Amino acid sequence: MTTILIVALVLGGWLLYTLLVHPSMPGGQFLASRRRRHERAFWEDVLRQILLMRQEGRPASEEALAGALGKSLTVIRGVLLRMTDHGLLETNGPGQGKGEGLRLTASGERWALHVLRAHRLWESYLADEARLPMERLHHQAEQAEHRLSEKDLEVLDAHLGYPLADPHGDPIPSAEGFLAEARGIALQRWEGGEAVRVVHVEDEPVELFEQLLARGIRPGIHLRLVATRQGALEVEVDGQKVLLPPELLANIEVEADVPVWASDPSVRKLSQLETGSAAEVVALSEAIRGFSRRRLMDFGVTRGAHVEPVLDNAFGDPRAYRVRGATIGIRNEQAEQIWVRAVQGHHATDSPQNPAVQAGAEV
Amino acid sequence: MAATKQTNPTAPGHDCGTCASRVELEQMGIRLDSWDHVVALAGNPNTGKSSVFNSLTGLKQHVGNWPGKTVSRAEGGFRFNGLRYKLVDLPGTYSLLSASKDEEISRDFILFGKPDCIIVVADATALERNLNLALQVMEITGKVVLCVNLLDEAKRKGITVDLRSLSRDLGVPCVGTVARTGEGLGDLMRVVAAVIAGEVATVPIRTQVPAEVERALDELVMMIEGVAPGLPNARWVACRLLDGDLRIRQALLSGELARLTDRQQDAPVAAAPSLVSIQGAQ
Amino acid sequence: MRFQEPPELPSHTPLPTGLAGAAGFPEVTVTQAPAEAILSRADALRRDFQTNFRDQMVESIYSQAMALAARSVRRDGNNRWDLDQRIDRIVTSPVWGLPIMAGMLAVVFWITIVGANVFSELLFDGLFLVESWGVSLFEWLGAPWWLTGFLWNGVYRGLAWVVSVMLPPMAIFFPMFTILEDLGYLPRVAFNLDWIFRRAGAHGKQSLTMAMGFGCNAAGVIATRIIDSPRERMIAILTNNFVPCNGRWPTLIMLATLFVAAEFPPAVASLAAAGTLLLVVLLGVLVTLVVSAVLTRTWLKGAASAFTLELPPYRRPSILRILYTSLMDRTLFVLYRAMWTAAPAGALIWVLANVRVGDESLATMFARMLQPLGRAIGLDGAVMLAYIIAIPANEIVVPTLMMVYAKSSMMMQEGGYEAIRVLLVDQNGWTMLTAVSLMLFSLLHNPCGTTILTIWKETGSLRWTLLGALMPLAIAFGVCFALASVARLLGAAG
Ligand SMILES: Nc1nc2c(ncn2[C@@H]2O[C@H](COP(=O)(O)OP(=O)(O)OP(=O)(O)O)[C@@H](O)[C@H]2O)c(=O)[nH]1
Ligand SMILES: [Mg+2]
Repeated sequence: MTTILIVALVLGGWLLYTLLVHPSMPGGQFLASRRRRHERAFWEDVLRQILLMRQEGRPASEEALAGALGKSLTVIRGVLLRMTDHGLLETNGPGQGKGEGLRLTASGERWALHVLRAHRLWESYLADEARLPMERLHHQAEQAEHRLSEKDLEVLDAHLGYPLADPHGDPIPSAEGFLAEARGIALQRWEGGEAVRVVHVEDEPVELFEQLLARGIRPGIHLRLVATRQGALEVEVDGQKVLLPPELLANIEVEADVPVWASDPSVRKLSQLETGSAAEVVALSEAIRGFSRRRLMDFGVTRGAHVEPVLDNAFGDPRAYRVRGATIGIRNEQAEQIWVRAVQGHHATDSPQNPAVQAGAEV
Repeated sequence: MAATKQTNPTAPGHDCGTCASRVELEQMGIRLDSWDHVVALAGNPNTGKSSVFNSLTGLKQHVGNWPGKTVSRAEGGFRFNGLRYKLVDLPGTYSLLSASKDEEISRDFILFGKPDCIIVVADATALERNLNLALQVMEITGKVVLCVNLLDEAKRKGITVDLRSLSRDLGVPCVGTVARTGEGLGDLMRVVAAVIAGEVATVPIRTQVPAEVERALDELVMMIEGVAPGLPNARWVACRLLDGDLRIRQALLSGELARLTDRQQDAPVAAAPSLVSIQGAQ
Repeated sequence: MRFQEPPELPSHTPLPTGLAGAAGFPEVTVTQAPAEAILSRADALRRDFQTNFRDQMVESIYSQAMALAARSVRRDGNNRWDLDQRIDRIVTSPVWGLPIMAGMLAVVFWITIVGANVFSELLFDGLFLVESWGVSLFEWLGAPWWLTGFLWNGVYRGLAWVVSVMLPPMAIFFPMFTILEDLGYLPRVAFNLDWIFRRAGAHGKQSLTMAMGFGCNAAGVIATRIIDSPRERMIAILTNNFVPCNGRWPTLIMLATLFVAAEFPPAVASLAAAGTLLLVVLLGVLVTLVVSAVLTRTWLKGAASAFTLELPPYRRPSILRILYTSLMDRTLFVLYRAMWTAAPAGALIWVLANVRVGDESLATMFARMLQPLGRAIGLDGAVMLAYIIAIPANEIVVPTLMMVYAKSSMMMQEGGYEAIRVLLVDQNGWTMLTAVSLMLFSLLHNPCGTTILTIWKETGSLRWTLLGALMPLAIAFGVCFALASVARLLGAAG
């Protein structure tokens, strides 16, 4: 009796082992492929991190990687060794951690660029089409970047209209592996004029990013630097004064490329225009991206178009505007991103502008 | 094919502008076993495409006064001056650039569906917005007739459209209609038949673009013509490639675009270089 | 040692072969096919543009269009134009916009109810007179009882019920609704309500698709194609069921008339019925919004997308065409479809009612088995049975119910609503609570077979289809169960 039981147990155990664990059986294969997926994601994180560090001019050392990825040094060393074996990495001799540290080989770089491209394109997709809130983009893209194939990216890229930068303002590598230089300078180190354009807002750490969003700072907006107060910087965003504490300044990158109209006091947001008045579109903000931008332009909301707010509903949102002979309802959220200059009456041409001279403020 | 039947459209009554409801038009509903020509209706939403479609085919496509009533394409048939036409009612679109679903349906049909002529139905009361689409369609194909619809509404609002000058400027015939009453539809079909037969040559104007864009377009057009010689809308294809239209990219890679030119070449070549512009209903 | 295996290299990344040792990317491949060369050139050119290519293109086209239009369009005086705007200022006015909307809906309901009352009675009398003639004729011919019963009390009665209950409300409601549609009022509704929908994470155009859903939920589901954002479109598809379609109007109208209106003096009875319908519809809108908001926070996460909607000019409706489309296309088509379900359903019910197991008929047996379920939600087994039989088309719920109750042979003496009242209240003990429960159930329960099929076609996904079918069902059961429980508690307490 007992022998039968033992035999049955052994046989059953064997069967279970072969089916579930042994690598050549279905269960084992499932486990193995899962493991490989995890491993691949880990490799890709390492590759992307090294690429980013190099781009930012920081040496990619084992310690820095361990810190950035939240892994122990042993784990990092192990994976770096294996990746080097696979010809993805090169190290500068035995004295690692010093000098310029780890370098990507050509194939390593190619792979890293693919991951970066996947990450940034997916963020663009989530922001422009799925309309996920900005602070949720990064986390979602972290997962998607390991799943997307090159073919997927090609389709996605075309669908999004080949965006050059992701919603944070980071350049998106092209399919051929071309990665544009980041153009901005951190606000901390800014020494130029008082009118700047935000080109990049760092999305990590999330807490700081949320603080920035709460202050209305996002790529594409124009800032006027007003004054410095004990390391903090007072800026004007959309006509409102906002104080940026020192820890936020490093996360905003700006450039001087501010269009002329941005300093024109007669330029306002479409949403601020009173019903019954008339205006001419000056620009569509960069923050309107993807499909919403295309739709607005289809309706003829383009530079130079004549617009007149005509209707407000019970909630004051959306409002309806006369544009090119039709009445179009537009939500305030979008109307806030459309810059207009008031003109007089129907189909009036530009009213003579009096170039208001602004008193320059100290930065 | 069209050349053999060219004798028919010049039937008597060609200059009879007043008799819009002549018997030369026979509605054929969905009887679509065979046809001589395919004509498509494109245009902004809510401009009366389905109304034109219904008047011509006798079908009852649903119409409604809101943009987006028609969401998929409908087909019907009619006979005009002895020729059988298949008419395709496309969903209304504001442009062909955005690549939303309905725009794709329209764009694909205009480009790959091999229509012999496209009627762009425009709202006379908002012509500027409607010309945006018309200009885009005209970049794809020259076989375009602009149907300036809703003339009654325009009149009510004190708007008049000089169809003759518009025809001259655009380089394609423009016909004024009131789709709801059927006014002007006879003229419309007469012009469409003439355009298909090549009796009316169309010379669609090209959009003026900034120099930077023009240079890029020129360069691409040259390359495209190397791959697909004789492609009539190389400039538009170049434009779409610059914009990044996946469908067009694929069509170029697969050679589908190059094959499109075969058809264009056996279409009747317009004999008269001068543009015959047709005046709308009175 | 297991981790020694390399991770799967991304198969799509063509690795080292042909790559130069240096990190110099992109590599210029010399042997590119001409088509590919064009594409990569286009990509390169696009990157080099100073400003966004598409922006430049659209601006160019529009400035050309502007120039062309300026040359050929002449406007003299904007007097009529102002009329349109004056109307618009009223119907979208911050103060009057929403009340006008509700009022308009109420008026449409009221006319429908009053009109339907009259015509239903006439039709009912006429069609049942025909039934009694038919039965007499068959008896005179000496046909066997089961043939007479099957054909006249089964198939024919199913048809007669559907025609007399459905035709009048539809024939009145559709034309009126089409007039609103043709006037151009619907986009104004979307404009007025967009803010609320945005709050729920949905799209303002959803109200257009809901308006189409009044006619038929399947049509409403198809109409969601006008919503560009896939997420918002999915929400619109999944919640379209919460607007009562024409198949459910008759049920609602009947209940509102028989139970609610009966509580009021005759002078305002029809107004009360219309008010009830309005409440039901508003409740449906509320459920739509709540469900949309929940979906937005669970399976369909995301913020509301952009809303741009054209408000077309008002146009004079063309009455003849409206009559044609609403009567021929909508009413008759729907009726036709309903009859195709009603006739076999009538036959099925007749069989159920006349095949006996022991000393009860199959229908009674099924109804008895479903009784606990029905009771739990304030209804009864017969209603549940009717709903199961009516899955293919909601139109036939009421007729089915009547036939289950009436059990084949029992003849109804009076015509119209009075007959139904006798049947429901006197013979089957319905109360106001039963009526309210049924109205709620009818508003919320699963979409009909056609709609489910349409959802499947439109979404192409079994999962969403299942959700679209089961979620309303669960909500219907949940809401009705809660109502019944509360009523029971109050009853026990009071
Ligand atoms: N007064 C007037 N109304 C017209 C005319 N043509 C069409 N309409 C009305 O305009 C509205 C829109 O007509 P449709 O034929 O549905 O327009 P469509 O272009 O098919 O619209 P979509 O399917 O949404 O793209 C309807 O209410 C028609 O009755 C016309 O010539 N005069
Ligand atoms: Mg249509």
